[in-house]
Amino acid sequence: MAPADASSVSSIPDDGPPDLDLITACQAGDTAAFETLVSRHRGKVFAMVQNMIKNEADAWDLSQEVFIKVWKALPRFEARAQFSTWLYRITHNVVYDWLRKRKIDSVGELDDNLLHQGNIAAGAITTPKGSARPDDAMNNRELGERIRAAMDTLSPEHRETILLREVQGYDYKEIAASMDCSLGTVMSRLYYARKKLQQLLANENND
Amino acid sequence: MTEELFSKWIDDCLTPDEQVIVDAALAEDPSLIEEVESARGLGDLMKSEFPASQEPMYPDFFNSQILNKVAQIDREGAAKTAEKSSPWWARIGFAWVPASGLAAVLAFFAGTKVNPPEQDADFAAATELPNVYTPGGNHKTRVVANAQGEVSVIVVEGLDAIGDDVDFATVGASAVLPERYLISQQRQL
Repeated sequence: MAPADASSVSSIPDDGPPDLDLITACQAGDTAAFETLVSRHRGKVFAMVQNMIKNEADAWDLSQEVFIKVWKALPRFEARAQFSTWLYRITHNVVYDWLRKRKIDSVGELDDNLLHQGNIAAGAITTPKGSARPDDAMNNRELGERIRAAMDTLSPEHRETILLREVQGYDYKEIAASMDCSLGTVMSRLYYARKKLQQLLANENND
Repeated sequence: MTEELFSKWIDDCLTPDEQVIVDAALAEDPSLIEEVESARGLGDLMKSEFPASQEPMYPDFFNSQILNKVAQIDREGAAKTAEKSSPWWARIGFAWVPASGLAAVLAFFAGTKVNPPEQDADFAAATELPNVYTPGGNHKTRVVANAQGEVSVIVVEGLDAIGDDVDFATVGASAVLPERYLISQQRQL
């Protein structure tokens, strides 16, 4: 998914009516339009949920829950933001409610307050100095396993931020809107998530 | 260079002014470019490992379950809307039959208790008597009597329910008390 233009209100797919037209129909009670909306967006929702909770069966249930909540909330949807951002906000809430109930704690969770740095000086020790690029040293399959393992060490907030940026291609404002946090928090989480992943992958490479 | 600037550099989102700052930092420490390229490589790895879109298993069934639930929500919503829009007497349904019967009974008893206007003052002056002795630890007793002493009401709270099998006509000092009553007394002890 290419980075979205923040000024656009609805995405226009390759075929079929724009999201906004479908939403208008749904708000009038058109369930066929809603099914089109579900079919169009279920892949992204399911992928994001599964990337966050890593369980296919639960991801299936939670993805359905997302769309049921979407149906209930559609009367309140105002076309001030992109539907996908609004949809993702609901996805975020569903996932986090589920995580809270499961009380999943990641190992080595990054605490934004503890690790906050105001400035990074060029050449400072804290600037990550990876000795080798991971993609030069590992084969693809092993690399995939290692990056998944490294992602598992991130807190849900850091994992989600970097997934939205690197995988879903959201811009910073969209990430902030989806996660209901400030732009500064997004930038901080993104920076430290990348830093930690690079450190973990570099450490494994050096082992 | 701030975290924000570093991230924007990785993501190719620098403004012209920010690019100037980055260029200056790069001139001071050329190794920074390695970190940026490493982070960009990390992004490529993530894209290859984590899908941006993945169809759920049995997608038609996935949709049909959602639509079934949506239909159920709509039905429940329609039922609530119909209930709210109907007149109040239609909403209580057949409950008006026993309700009207109860109202008639209450009206009968109220009529038997109505005093001539000159006697209402007696009840207006009814007071709750102090110093009422209550034998049981969990009981609370109040006595309300009118000024003339002609009517008094004793209210005892906290008593155990009296079983349906108690025949007061035959209960005497030598009668055996119902088992339920005895069990409740034992529990209190």
